[in-house]
Amino acid sequence: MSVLHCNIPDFVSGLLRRGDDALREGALGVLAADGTLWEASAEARACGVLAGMTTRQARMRCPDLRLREIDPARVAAEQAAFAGVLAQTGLDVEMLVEGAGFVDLSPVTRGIEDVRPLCADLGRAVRAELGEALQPALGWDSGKFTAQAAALSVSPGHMRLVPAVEEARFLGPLPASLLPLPPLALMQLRWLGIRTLGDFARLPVAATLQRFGPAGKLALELARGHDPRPVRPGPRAVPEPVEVELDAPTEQPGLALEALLRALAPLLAELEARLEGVRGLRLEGRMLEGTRPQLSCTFVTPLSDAGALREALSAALAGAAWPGALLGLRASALQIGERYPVQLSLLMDGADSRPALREAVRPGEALVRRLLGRHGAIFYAAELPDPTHPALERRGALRTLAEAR
Amino acid sequence: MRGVADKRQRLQYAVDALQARYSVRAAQRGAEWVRAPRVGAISTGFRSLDAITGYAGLPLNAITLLSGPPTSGKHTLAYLCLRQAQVATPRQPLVALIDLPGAADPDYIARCGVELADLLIVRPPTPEAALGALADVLRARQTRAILADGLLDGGAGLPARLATLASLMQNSRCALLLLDTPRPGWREWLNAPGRGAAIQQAALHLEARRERWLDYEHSLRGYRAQIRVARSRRGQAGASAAIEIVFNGVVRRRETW
Repeated sequence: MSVLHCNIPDFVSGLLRRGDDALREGALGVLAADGTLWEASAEARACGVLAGMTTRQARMRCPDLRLREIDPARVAAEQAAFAGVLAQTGLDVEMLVEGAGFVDLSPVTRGIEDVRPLCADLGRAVRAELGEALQPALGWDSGKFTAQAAALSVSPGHMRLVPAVEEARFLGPLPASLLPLPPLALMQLRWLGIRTLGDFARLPVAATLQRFGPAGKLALELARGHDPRPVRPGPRAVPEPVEVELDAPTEQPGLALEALLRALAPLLAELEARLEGVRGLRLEGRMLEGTRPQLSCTFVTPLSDAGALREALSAALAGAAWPGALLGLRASALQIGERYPVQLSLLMDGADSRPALREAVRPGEALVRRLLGRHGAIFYAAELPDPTHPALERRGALRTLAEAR
Repeated sequence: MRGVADKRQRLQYAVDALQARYSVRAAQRGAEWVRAPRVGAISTGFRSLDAITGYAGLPLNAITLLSGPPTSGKHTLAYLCLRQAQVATPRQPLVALIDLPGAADPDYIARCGVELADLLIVRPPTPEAALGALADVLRARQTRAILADGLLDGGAGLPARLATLASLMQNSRCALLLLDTPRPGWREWLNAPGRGAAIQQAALHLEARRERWLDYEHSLRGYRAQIRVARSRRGQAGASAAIEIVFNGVVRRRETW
C-alpha cells in the first residue's frame, strides 16, 4: 500500500486568519457552538490551551487569547474545496477531519521516486486553492498511521516520505500519545512508563491484548509500522439508531442518558476495537406531551468511551433544557470516524522543552539567595511533576530553593 | 452679629465634644475636610465582594484577616486572590505563601490559576520564625501579595510582632492576607492571643462561612459561601456577599447574588 496523508495544521484558525489581518499574530482560539474550544492555534497551545477546554479554562492559561466563533458553513465549504483538490487526482480519498485526509497512491506509484513529484504537485494544488495561510504538510508511507505521523512531524509546506526500511527508526522516538487510543489507555501507558512508540512496540502482543483489548492489539501493529486499515473513500456507513424506552416518565435527562449509554455500549465497544469513534450524534427525545425535540452534537474528536460521551451529552442536554417529562430517547450516529491523536502539538511545539523552561524559572531567586543565610532552607518552589497522577498528593511537589545560594 | 457668633461658638463646642469622644475624623469642618488618600487594592475577583470591602478588594499596604472554619472556602478565596495579584501586576507577579501548617497543595493552587513559577512558598518551623521571614520578604518589596497561613497560632510575643508588621506594611505596595481558623473560646483564652491582636491591626476583617454544597445529579460541583465584612476601616461592617466556587478540573469562581 502507498498512502499519502495531507494535513493542514490549524485549519479553522488558519481560515479565520486568512480573512482577518488583525488575527495574524497572537494566540487564537475557535469556539464551537457549545462554548468550548474547537481548535487552538499554535501560540495558544504553547500556553497550554487545548481543544475541548471551556473559555474560562483557556483564558486562565492564556489571558491574551482571542476567541472567535466557528462558522460551520464556511468551514464546510473550505473542507469541500480541500477534498475536491485531493479528489482531482482520481484516486481514493478518505477525509479524516477538517484539513486532513488520506490519498491512496497505490495505483500510480511504485516507489519513493514516483511519490515525490506527485506529492509536490498535490501540495502546490492545495496551496493554490486555499492560499498561503493554509499550506499542507505531507507525509507518505505504506500505512495510514505512519503517513499521518510523518505529516505531523514536518512544518506546513514540507513533506516527509518514510521508506519501509526506515519505519521502525522513524516511529521509535515519537511520543506514544500519537496512538489513536482512548485517553484512559494513553494515561495508563504513561503510568506504566511507556513514553514512546518504540517502548510500546516492544510490548508482547498477548499482554497488550489482555490489558487494552483489541484496540491495544491494533495499536501495537500501528506502532510497529504495520497498518492494515485501508483508505476508505466516501462517508462511512452509520449504524442503526438506538432507542431506549423508560419504564416511567422522568424529568431527569441524566437517567434516560444512562439507559441510552447502556444500549450504546456494544456499538461503542465495536468502534473502539477498530480505533474509531462517533464524531456526530443526534438525540431525539420522546416527551410525555407527545413532542419530539431534537439535539445534534458534533464532537471535537471521535468518541468511543462512554465516560467522555456521557460528559458531552450531559452538557448538551443541560444546555437544551427540554421541557416536560421524558418517555424515551433515541440516538442516531451522524458520522463515524477514525480516532486521531488529540495532542498534535506534542510534535510541533516540542513539549519536552517545557520542563527545561520551568527549571530555569525560579521564583524570586535573588530574594531567596539573600534570605537563605538568615532563615535557612525554608524556601520552596512549587511544581507539578506529574499533573495527571491518580493520587492527588503525588501530582504536585515542592522543590527546595536551598541550592539558590 | 452677636447671635451668629454665638451659633458658631456653640457649633465649635459640639464639634470639639464629638472629636474628643469619637475621633478627630468623626466630625470635621468642610474647610478642614480632606479626602482620604486613595489606597490601592487587589481585586478578589468577585465584584460583589469587592464592592463591600470598602477598598475594592484587598487593601495594599495593610493587613487583611480572613477567618473561617475548615471547608468554609477561605483557602480557595485566598488562592484566587493570589492569582488576581499575579494577573494585576504582570511586571511584578511574585507572590508568597507562608505555609506554617505545611499543608499547601501545589496541584490545587495551580488549579486555582496561580502561576507556580511566580509563587514562593515559605515553610518556617515556628510562627516566630515565620514572622521574621515575613518581615524580610516585605522589606525586599518584590512581592505583590503575601498569604500567611497558621501565623496566628503564635505565642505571647505575637501581638507586638504584629504591630511591627503593620508598620512595615506601610508603603510596601503589598497586600498581606492572614488566614485564621477560629478556635473554641477556652483555647483562645489559653494560648492564642494572636487573633485578637490581628483583628486590631487588620484594616479589613472578612469572615467566610460555607452556605451549602452545589451538586449536580448527585455529584459535587462546588460550594456557595457567604463572606461577611466583620470590620473595615473604610467600608460598612456587617455587609456580606455570596460567592460560588465551582470545581471542573480547575477551580473557578462564579458571580452570584
